[in-house]
Amino acid sequence: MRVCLRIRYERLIEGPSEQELIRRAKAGDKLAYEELLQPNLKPAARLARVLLGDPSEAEDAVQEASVKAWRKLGNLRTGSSFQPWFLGIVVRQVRTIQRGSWWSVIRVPSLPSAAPPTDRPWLEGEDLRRAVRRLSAGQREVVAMHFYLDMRIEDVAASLRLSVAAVKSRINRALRELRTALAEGS
Amino acid sequence: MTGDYADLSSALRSAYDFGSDYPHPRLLAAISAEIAKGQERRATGWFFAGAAAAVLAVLIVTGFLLIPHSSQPVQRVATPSPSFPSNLPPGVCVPTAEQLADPNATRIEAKLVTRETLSTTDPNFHQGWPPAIKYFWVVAEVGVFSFDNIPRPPLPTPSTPKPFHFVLSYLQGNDDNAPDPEWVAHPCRAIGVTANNGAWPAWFDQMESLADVKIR
Repeated sequence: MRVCLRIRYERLIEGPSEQELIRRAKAGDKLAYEELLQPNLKPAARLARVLLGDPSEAEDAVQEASVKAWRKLGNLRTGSSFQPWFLGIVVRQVRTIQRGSWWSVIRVPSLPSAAPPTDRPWLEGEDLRRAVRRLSAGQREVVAMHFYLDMRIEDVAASLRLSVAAVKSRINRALRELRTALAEGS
Repeated sequence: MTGDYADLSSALRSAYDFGSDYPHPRLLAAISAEIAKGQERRATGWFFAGAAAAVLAVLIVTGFLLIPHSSQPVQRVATPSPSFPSNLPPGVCVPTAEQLADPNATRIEAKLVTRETLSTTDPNFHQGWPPAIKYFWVVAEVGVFSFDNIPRPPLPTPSTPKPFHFVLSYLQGNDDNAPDPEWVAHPCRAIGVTANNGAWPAWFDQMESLADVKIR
């Protein structure tokens, strides 16, 4: 009885678990879906903005991906975590935008510029953004997810529907490119 | 791997520091409204689908009977500017006067460049542009532009409606043979834009071009 009360008390404090929210959202509970979505909007928008460059387009991508995720929630396997699955949908939405013939890069306000060259291990500021833009789309995705959003390689692999080995290989190639850019002082 | 590359994570977070107000606080509300709209649409969808199909059928039959049939090809509506050189490569379009007459610009220059040149010179070159586009008109403009007067498809009002001082527009220089009916009406279709508050870029002046037109 005491154990039971304690579990109920903990649930009251922590709120429903992610799996409980997923179950309710799958059953059509819109509020449960919004509760799932809320903590993931910021990483999703930031990921989309790194990949697309344009803040408005990134927000549009996240909005579109969120509606798609709601419609496809039934595809999320029981026991799976929401974030990697949702970010995978965001990345695919970004790819759709990138494949489109329209392209826009609106920059406001100015982001921090590059620091003067030092013995820094990586490029910084605009130099780093330029080097990231020159990576292939696939390399950019893994770099943004793993190094910018701090996602585990296993989660990146799940998001992008790749094997862990394939993600590691993309990361290694991207790091080689970024190191070359640093050596060239780009 | 993360441990070994903590410096890269920190450099990336600093380079892409979008501030705490991004994304827009109302993004969740916008998504919620969109989902609610979708649910309403589904509920009423079947009824309207049936009604719409019936109306469409009537319109098609009526239109077929009433509209006179023409075998004349659609005329291109481009109005070539007199200042454009006449020896452009075959198949290259000429931007219309309207595409180059932005009243907000104090300086406008257009360059016709090959894909190869643009892809190696322009830091914002978009890999998604179809490879069949071999020529691009790049139009650089200086002035005071707002989000509304930058040429772009209709999008929601941005959360940061600040003015821009420099805009680069990208126009498709040749037909990419994609099934796009808009090409007929707008041969130099706008396919991209970059806007920022930076200065006129040196790379634009140094970019090797097939035609260089100073409009204003």
